[in-house]
Amino acid sequence: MDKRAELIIDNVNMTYKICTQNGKEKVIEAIHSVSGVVKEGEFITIIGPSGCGKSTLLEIIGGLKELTSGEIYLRNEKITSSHPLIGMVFQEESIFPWRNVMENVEFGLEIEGVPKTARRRKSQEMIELVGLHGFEDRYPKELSGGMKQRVAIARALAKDPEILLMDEPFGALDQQTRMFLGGELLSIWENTKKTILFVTHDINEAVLLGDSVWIMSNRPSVIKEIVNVDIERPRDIKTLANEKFSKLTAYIWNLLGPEAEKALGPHAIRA
Amino acid sequence: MKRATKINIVRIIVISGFLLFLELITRAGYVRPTILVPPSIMCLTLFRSIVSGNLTPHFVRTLVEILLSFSISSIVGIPIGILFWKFPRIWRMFEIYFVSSYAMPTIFFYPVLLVLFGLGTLPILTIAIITSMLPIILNTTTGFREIREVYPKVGHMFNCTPAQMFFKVKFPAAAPLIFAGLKMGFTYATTLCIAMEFLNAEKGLGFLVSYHYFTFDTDLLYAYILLIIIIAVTVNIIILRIEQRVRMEL
Repeated sequence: MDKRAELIIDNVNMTYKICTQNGKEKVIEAIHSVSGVVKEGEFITIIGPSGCGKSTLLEIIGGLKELTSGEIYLRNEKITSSHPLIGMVFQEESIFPWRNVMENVEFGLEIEGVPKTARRRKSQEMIELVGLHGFEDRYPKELSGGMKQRVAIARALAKDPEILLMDEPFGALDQQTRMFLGGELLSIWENTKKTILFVTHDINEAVLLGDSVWIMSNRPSVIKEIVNVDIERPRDIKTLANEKFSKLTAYIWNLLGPEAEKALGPHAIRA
Repeated sequence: MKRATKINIVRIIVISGFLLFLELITRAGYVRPTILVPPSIMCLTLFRSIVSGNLTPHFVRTLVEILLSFSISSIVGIPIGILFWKFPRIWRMFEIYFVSSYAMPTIFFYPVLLVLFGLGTLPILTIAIITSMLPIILNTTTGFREIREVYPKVGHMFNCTPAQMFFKVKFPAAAPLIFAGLKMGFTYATTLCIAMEFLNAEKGLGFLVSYHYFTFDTDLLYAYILLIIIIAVTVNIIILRIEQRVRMEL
């Protein structure tokens, strides 16, 4: 099973300047020489302490932020701005409140100029894929948090991207909904064969979903370790009881713990 | 839908109950007819005035004033608001004047403008435009400045052109506040046009009210006040409808 490399992240650095209280400029290094290879159809989860730049990395890949140095290749082609083959799902509520479910899902196709009947057909398919059949005419304010994120996923998938970037998409939801949607995401992934980069701060979620887990360190962020998750698929809620699962989560926590402590600063209390 | 009809029923009951109450206390003689006339007489007088055609020129004059001042302040105010959002430095320079002039009763300048332009629509329009433009400008600027950061990000992810970004993402995102500004602007335009006609004018609904007020013609006075209330309510309903429709289409 030798799959080709879909996305190559080559030595990416990102720094930005801030003004300190006494008016001096200070350079903050958000990401420090991050490299990685994502294969076609792979499900990568990225985990790290809060504020470590995992979202920044995703936004750089999505073309929303500029990198300071380094290169990103999509299928051997260097990318510098938002690429049509890359879709993104955000943590915050990102679906448009002035559009109903159908209109939200077809947004990308509308921007591309796809004729109405064609984009309706495609969007309908996506709405059914994420299990929102019957909610086409509803407005976001009538939907629950989990449903809104499903709309966001359908919207990103409607344009048929190769890579789906997900920035803590279930982070704002409660534990039960998060686990449930995680399971649904797995079946969507298995059906659509997309490549997924999924940022999370939840170790269980990272292990449950990913083929491999990228562990990022505290700022300046480097990839500290890549952990392979060799738990057989299909996975679901029952996987949580798997012996390998608890070993892996414990292992990752050991790696993350010191980083999380650093992120909290010198006053962090040792547990 | 069921809840909406219930609310409407309650509204109608409250209003008709209030009118019935006024009718009863005036008919029973608790309130003198020089102070308040029964609602039925108000309606009847208004009806007669409409049929006789006496009202028409005044009505048209006021309507034209309101629509003209509101249109001008929207057409000019929204672009100015966008300008202030695009160039925050200009905004910072003028912010203090704009915000403080909110508290300034512009109506004080009416006499000066009367001297400058003479009796007619021009002084009224000037004041109504200046005053109603303020909330339109301020709300447009605020509306655009407070767009949630994630919306333009979504636009970028789908490779929106700058025009698509403006018309399909930013403008609809700012629309609720812009509309609130327009509603306020319209209210200001209406109130000020009628109030200045009331102060000093030769035509218009405000003039009619003040004329019958000074001639103790209470029947007609209340008939025209009633008309102004009806206009205000109708216009508000129309604006609400437009708001809903526009939001659907964006």
